[in-house]
Amino acid sequence: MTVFKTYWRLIRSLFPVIILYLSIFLVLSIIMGSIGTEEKTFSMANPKVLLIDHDQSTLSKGFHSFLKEHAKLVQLKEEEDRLEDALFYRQVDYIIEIPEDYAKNFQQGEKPKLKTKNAPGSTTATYTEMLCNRYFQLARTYQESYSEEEYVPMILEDLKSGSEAILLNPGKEEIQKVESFFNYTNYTILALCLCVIGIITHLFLHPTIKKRNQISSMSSSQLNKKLFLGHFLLMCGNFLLYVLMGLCLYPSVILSIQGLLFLVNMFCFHIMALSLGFFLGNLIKSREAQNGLVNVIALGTSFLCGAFVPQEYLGKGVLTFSKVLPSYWYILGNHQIASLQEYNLETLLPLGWNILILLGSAFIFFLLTNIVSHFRQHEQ
Amino acid sequence: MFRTKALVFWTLCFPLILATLFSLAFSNINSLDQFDPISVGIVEKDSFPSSFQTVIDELSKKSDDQLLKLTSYSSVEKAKEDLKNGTISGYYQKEDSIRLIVKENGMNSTILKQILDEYQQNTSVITNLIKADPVGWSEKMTHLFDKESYFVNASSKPLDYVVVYFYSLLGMVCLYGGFFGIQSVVSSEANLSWKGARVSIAPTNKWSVLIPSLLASLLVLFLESLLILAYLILVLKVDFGANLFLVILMLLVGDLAGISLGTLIGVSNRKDENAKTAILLSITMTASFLAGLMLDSMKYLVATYVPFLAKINPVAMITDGFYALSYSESLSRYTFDIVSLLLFSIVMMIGSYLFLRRKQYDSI
Repeated sequence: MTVFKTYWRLIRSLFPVIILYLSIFLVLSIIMGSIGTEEKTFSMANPKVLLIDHDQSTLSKGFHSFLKEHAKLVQLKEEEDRLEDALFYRQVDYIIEIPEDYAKNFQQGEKPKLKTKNAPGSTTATYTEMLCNRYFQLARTYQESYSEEEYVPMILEDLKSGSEAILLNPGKEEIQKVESFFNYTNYTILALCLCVIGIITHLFLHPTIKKRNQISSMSSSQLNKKLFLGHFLLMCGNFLLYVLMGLCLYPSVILSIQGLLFLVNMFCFHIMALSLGFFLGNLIKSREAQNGLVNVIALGTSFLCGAFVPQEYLGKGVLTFSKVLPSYWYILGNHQIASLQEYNLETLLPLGWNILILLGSAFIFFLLTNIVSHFRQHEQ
Repeated sequence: MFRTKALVFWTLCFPLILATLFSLAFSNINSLDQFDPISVGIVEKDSFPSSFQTVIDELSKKSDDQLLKLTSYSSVEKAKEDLKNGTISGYYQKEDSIRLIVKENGMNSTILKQILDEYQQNTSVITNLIKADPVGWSEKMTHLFDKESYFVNASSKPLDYVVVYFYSLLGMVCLYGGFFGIQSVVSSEANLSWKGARVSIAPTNKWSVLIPSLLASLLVLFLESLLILAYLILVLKVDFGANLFLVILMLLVGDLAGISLGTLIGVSNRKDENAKTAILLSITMTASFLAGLMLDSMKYLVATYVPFLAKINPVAMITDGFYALSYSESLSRYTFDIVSLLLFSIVMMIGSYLFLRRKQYDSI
């Protein structure tokens, strides 16, 4: 009981670290959760367009009204640097400048090209150009038959009519957000487990404390068991906090079968993180080296295994390498759960293998901890 | 300085590792938004009006402006299966009218919908043309299928969004120089280290001990920054523009700003080294976050909505300086950033001077 009590006294002193990591996670989850809305029906993507209209003709004003309907009009001061910055940081997708007398030249049958600024070759720029071209294409078509004042309202009316589009999987975005939520836990679970478990193991292995424990009646395996129990309870507490956060942010998904599978996968990852933390705590003697390693492992696996950037966007070489890391299988498991349409042996088997890899890794780290611990017991 | 392993790790090894991770994780990000012809299916093509078939075939022709990659399906089930596994972005199906079925909302789905919209809108356009000119309407209709664009792109350089992460990483490295500043102060302050106590009883001016130490720190940090810069340019191929001399100058001034910030944190309070380091880390990480280290568009948002914060943030000044060298044609923005950083360093050093002058110890 003495060891156990000491353990929780130490944990209390580490509360600021625990709160720091949980806050980072909560902020990340809330930011990502607030981006986008749930898809129930089909909706067109609205490119962000900035229109600089020096012409102020019926044609250009009609174009402005058209953009209001079909794009998101952005207002900015017309300073060169400001516009370039907005384009670079993707706050604007397309900048269009209509020069003076554009409509006059257009009416005379000329084809003056409008100057634009955009990310060349991007899908958004391709669509925006297609969208805007359509307006002037119709203007050109009507030009010989109607006056500018007549055809501009006709174009706006024509462009209002749309076709029917259906979403195959409505509501998919919610599950993608939940997937991201669980993917981010890769960073915080690893950082928290490795940091806290590392510090506590390190403190118990401090030469004077170790010597004090060696002369006590408690064997080293008993001490290890108690420490492990403390770590396990800490891990369960951490797990429950994530469950609570998940329930607050995405109650409908967390309370479904998919939610349950996400939680099982996360619990197994917690066990792996605990085992890894215990192993590193025993292996690394220097507190500073431990600190560095925690950051490298937590950030490294999050970048390389797809926690921050989805796995489908990572290069093949990176993915091949990351297969040796347990985080890869945890994140892949999350993706598999998010993609589940039906629940049967065939669809659940790949997930089962991933979870087995996580538990297998935990077992390997546990064995390695015992080996390292055995050698360190005999160290002077 | 080089002997302090933790210091070398955080100011040299950690940025190198982080830069490598950025490079590995973001290597495909820029190409994600690059347009590729959209894979689309058409179920029982023969059941569609010939005019729609012509439009779709025309858009699928191999050329520089090819918009679609068309696959014909004999059954809806097969098309649905391909849509589910991501082989196609959507498929067109003819029932009473033509419908588009897509997997999810997005730019590809929007383009597919726009194609169908345009096709259906043509009916009302043709009606309007016939109303005005019942005889010659068909000639005017040719403009509807005119492929020539009404727009020309005046952007000079392709946009590489990922560079901001590397620029702000270098900004973070410069501010990590504050660790050196703190260490120099700790080594000269009698209440913080034995070395400081020993130095304090020597009959020399405090500044004559601290300034050489800070200069040595600047030299070490500058060498580390150069190593990181070389790694970014030569190994990770990060673009810093054509003027390498100005890039190095920005690094040097950034390093000076970092060390002066650390010095001020070191002398301005009576806390121990760990607390001072925690203060510096909190400032550095907040400044780096606001300059775009974790989210590239953050720098723009801060500069737009809280410009004051961007103007006092040294990491944002450094990031902006590198950005200006790569993307701005004039040097005025870069010069403004350099002057701002120098001003920042001067203010920090004056602050440090005010805290340090006449500081004496009755007893320790």
